[in-house]
Amino acid sequence: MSTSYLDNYYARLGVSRGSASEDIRSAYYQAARRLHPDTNDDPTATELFLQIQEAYETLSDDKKRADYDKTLPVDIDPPPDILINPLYSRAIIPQIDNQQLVYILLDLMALPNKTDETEAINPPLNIGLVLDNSTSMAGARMDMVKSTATQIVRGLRPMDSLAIITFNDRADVIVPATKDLDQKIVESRISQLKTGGGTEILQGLEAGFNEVGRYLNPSTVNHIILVTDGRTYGDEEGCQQLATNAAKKGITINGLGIGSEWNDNFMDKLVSTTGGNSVYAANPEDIKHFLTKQFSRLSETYADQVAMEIDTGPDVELRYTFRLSPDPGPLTQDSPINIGTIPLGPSLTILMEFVVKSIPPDVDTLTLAEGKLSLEIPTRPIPATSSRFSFTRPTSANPDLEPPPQALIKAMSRLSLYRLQEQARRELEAGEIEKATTRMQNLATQLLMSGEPSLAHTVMLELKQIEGGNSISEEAEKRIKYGTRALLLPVDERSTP
Amino acid sequence: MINVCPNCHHQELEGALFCSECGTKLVEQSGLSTAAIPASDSRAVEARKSAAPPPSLPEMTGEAVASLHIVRTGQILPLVGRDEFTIGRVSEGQSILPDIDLTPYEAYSQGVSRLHATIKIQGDDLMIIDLGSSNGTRINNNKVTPHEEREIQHGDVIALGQFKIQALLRQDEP
Repeated sequence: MSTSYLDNYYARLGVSRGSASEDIRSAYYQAARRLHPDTNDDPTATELFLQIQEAYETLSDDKKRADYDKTLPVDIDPPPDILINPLYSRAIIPQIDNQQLVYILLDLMALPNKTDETEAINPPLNIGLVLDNSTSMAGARMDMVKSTATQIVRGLRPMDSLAIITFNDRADVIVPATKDLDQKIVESRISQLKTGGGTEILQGLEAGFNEVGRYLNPSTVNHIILVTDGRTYGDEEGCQQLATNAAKKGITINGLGIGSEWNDNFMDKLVSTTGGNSVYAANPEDIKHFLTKQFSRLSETYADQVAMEIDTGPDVELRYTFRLSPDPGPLTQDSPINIGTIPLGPSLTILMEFVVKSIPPDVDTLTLAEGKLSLEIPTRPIPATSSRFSFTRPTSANPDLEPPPQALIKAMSRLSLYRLQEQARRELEAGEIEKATTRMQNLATQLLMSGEPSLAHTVMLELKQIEGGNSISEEAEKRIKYGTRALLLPVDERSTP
Repeated sequence: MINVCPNCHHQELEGALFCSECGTKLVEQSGLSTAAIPASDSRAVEARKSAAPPPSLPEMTGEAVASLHIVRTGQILPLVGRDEFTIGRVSEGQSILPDIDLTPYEAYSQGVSRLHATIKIQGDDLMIIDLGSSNGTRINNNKVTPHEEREIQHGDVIALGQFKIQALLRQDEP
């Protein structure tokens, strides 16, 4: 039996045998924060906590650690959990005085441990569904939310935990976080949902956070799904603070915005803090599509809470990060960057843009960035080992500049359309109308050339509005933003109008 | 070096791939095709018998259906250019050479035979056949019968003697 690498102190903390003591300490604190009996009601969490405690007592003491090491077989480190595969825009970095850009297309792929059968199954879910039931949700939107929620409840397995919260000016816990829900009772509660009042997102998020927190466990996929059609006022900072706490605790927030009034910039910032994603439902019919897709995605999670602690090299700046797949969306630039979940099948891919300020002539290897990737593998009883990475390239005074790899160019050609849209929107907000209209014209041209006539048409219609002295409609802004973002999806997954 | 957009004449930083002003592509596309699993740091496994041209591949190719991940070193070998590969190591006086030579990875000390196994790509599937090697082949710790075809799934760990490689198959979106 190959349990040797499962049952040792290093494995319990998710560190490798050669780990430095500060890595061991940070792994311990990270695990302890989530599993401490004071904050976590789950009985298995307490047991895990005690095991981790025992491991740390030995490994944090150099003498005890050395004695313990002598009792271990030579090869105890488990095989890697994920494959970290960077693709660089330049094989060799030219040594020039000017600033230059270097791109990395980073692929993170699941490497399930096939000798252990539990990893082939889908992990249990711990989801808080936070639903806006303000007045504007009345009618088709609420009907669609109800029917989708009912469908989701029917699809749950006994091991999944679900909480349903509604919010307007205040939050109501309609279904507290429960495993093995009584479907009839839940369905009747869903059918009785009423609408009324305003939109105070913080109320809903707080209730959702508390409910998900009750079953919080590294062996479940812990997510809040926020569904709203409105704009929250005055509590944006509170929401952002809550997202920061959620990220620390290991809870991801995903957002679904309905119609034209919700604040997509606020939502993107909120969800990207936790590594989540936001989607736009132009019509009530899209609600069902997105929510059911979200649930099936989450149940196919291999690794959750993938986070990247990153330090850029000297004279290197990380200027832009974007998740290309599975759910396209912006990421934060500040370390640690929460980058989302790695599905069992397709890889998690992100794009990073680095500005290299200058390369001194004596530097023959340029370090773009280095750091550590940490993640949770919910189906595994022990913490996943975090992996160190280092993105470096050789430099040369006179390199043969080869064209960048095709996969990177392909990704950037789509992403550059999204970025034109982002830039145009920033310019509009700053009142730089002329710049913005030129850019939108360029965007429309590029969209036409990429075979996206209907999206190009939307851009041109808006252009006319702006040139006629009107402001751009919120609906068009969202259609263009989520439309260009959807271009990053594989063709069969695009569904936005 | 200057990097000026041919379309709008906006000046971009060296290394920019697309014009930030108008979206025009600023770089030549590489003529080489890239594996779906990006593998910049590893060399593609070239078809060794150069006399026989590689079999022509269907339309969307250039993208490797499968790759082998050498667990110990983290290197990735995309399987491109043909649909059958022998794996082994090279030693002096050997007349038949394997398509994939694991000699540089200390294959000898890990018990890899000279012609250890064959890997076949059949459509989207990957198969392995042990060629009667001395130390045997195991898939996820289960020994395989020599000369018998076995299917490999994405993520399977294949041990050639003690030498571990992991199969990576292209995972299309469902």
